[in-house]
Amino acid sequence: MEFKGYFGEFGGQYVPEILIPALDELERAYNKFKKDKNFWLEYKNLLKDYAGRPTPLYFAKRLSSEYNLKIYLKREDLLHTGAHKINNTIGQVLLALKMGKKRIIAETGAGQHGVATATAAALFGLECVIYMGSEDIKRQSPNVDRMKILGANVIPVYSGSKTLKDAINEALRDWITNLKNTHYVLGSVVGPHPYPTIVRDFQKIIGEETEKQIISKENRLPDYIIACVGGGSNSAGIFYNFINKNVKLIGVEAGGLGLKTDKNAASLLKGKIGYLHGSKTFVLQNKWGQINQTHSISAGLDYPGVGPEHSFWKKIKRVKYIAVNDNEALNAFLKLSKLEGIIPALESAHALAALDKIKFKKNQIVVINLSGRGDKDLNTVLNSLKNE
Amino acid sequence: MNKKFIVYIPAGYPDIQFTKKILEMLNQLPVTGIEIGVPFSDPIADGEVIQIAHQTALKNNINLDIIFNLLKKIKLNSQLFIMSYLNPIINYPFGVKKFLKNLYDCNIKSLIIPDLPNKEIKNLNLNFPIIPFAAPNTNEEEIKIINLLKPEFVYYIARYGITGERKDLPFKDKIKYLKTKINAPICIGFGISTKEQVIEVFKIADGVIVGSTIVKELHTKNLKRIEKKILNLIP
Repeated sequence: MEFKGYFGEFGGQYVPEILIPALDELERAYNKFKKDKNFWLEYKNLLKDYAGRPTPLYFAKRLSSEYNLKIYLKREDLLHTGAHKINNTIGQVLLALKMGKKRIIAETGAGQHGVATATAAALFGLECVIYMGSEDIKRQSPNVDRMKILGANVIPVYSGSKTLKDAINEALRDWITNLKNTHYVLGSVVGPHPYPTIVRDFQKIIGEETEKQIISKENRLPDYIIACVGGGSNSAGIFYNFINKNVKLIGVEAGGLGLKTDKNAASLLKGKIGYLHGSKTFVLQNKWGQINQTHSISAGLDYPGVGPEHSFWKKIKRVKYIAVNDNEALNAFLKLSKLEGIIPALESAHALAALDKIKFKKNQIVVINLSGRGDKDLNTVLNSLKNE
Repeated sequence: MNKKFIVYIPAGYPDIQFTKKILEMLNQLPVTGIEIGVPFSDPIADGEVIQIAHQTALKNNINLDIIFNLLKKIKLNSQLFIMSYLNPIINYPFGVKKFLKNLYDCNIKSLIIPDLPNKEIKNLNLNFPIIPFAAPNTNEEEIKIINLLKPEFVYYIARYGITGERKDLPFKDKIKYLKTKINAPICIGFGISTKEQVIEVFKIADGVIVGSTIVKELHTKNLKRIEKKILNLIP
C-alpha cells in the first residue's frame, strides 16, 4: 500500500492538525516550483556562484595507499559555511520567498544547519530565529557566535534533553504559532511530509555531481559510497542518485560509547519503529515509548530518530547501515588531518572510520562523503584527547 | 445546562496518588468529561505548564499501566478520555490488543492524540474511537473527514499556538461556521482559562476543554484551592 508522503510504510504527517494546511501549502509550492525552470536556474546559480558548487571529488592518495583502495572524497566541506547544509537552506529560503514568507525559523544541533540558515536568511534579508538546545550551545559556541553575527536570533531551548530533538520540538511550537508569515527550514530529511522529500531533493545534487566526476576520472561507477547518518541528509543526498545503480551504499550511524550501551545515537540499528517529529521511522525509545536521550561525540549525529526514507532503505536492504564509536571517529578525524591535510567534521569522521569496518577487495573504488569541515569540533577533540 | 465542561489532568503530576485524589474530587463537581494526559518526552503541541507536568510525571516513572491501574480502581461519573501522543500508544509494550482491552476495562470513551491529524486516522487503523481536531484553518475537505468519523465530539483548537493560558477567544466566526457544517458537538480548547471565555464558548459551541490554567495549580496539592479554581471557571 502506498500513501502520499510515505516511503513504504515510513514517513507520513504525524503532527498536530493545525500544521496540516501549512504542510499542504508547502507541498503545493514545492510541486509548483519543482517544475519551474527559472526557480531551479536561480537555485543552481546561487549554489555555483555563492556556495561554491560543484564541490571537488578529490582522490585521497595517501589515504588510498594506506587501505589499498582508490578513495575519493566528495568535498562538501569546501562549501560556503563549511558543510552540505547550505544546499538545503538556499533551496528552502528561496522557496519561502516564493511563498511570501517574511520570517525564517530553524533548529540546529551542531550549529551547522543554524549557520547555513542564518546565512541564507541574511542573503535574502529575512528575519531569522534559530532554536538550539542549551547543551549544544555550550559545546558548539563558535557556531552560536557565527549565527549571531549573521543577524539571527539564537533562542536556547532548556526543555527535555536540551539538544537537537528539543530544538526541533521548540521550532515546531513556534511554527504552529506563527504559520502565516513563517517558514520552518528543517535541516535534515526528517519531519513530516513533504520535508524528507524536499530536503533530499535539495541535497541530491551531491550524488549527481559525484556520478559525473567519478565517470570522468575512472570511467565507471564506484564500488562503494559511504556517508554518515544522523537525520540523514548528506547520506540521502549522495545515495539518492545511485539507488537504482549497481553501487554498494553504506550509511554510518553514531555508535557513541558502543551499541551494547545506551549511550549511542544509532536509530536504525538500535531503534524501534515509532513516531517522532512528524514521521513514522526508526526511533531510539524505551519500553514505554518515551524517546531516549542519545549520545554521540558528534552533535550533528546526536539525534534519536532518522529520516523515514533511510528506514525504508534499511527495510528493503538497499543500504547497509553500520555504526562507528566515538573513539573510532576520533581516530579517523586525526588520521585524515595528518594524511591528507583535511580536518573533517566529527560527523564525516564517522564515514571515514567505516574504512576499517568493511572487507574491501584490493583497489576497489570508494567514495566517502566529506559532509563538513572540522573547525567547529576542535574543542571537542582536544578535550577528548585530554581525557584519554 | 447541556454544555460540556472537560478538564485535562496530566496523570502522575505531581504524583499518581494526587491524581487519584483529583479524580475523586472531580466526581463531586459539575464536570462532564475528564481528559487524562499520558506523559510524553516530546509534547510538541504543549506549552510550558503542561511540558513541566509531563517531565515531572516521567521522572516519577509514570507509564500507561500505572494509569490504567488507577483508572480501573475508580468509578467516575463523567466521560473519560485518554490524551496521549502517538508513540506511547503504538509502542505499548504488551501490544495493541492488550492496550485496547485496557481502554475498554477503564471505560474510556475516546482517544485524543495531538500528533495524529485527521487524515492519518484511517492509515493508523486503530479500531477505537478517536477525537478529531478542527482549527481556525480547517477546510471543507477536513470537515468531510471529520463528519465521516462520527466522533463523540470534535476538539476545536482555538488559536494558532500551543496549550497555555490566554484571555481571548479569536476566530468566533470560524466556530459559528463550523457549527453549521460539523454534525458532532464542538468543544473548544487551547488557551481557555477564564470564566468569560467559557461563557463566550457556551454561546456559540458545545463545550470547553480546560488544561493549563488548572494544571498550573496542581503542584500546590491544595485540593480546596484547585476545586475553587475549577468552580470559578464554570458559569
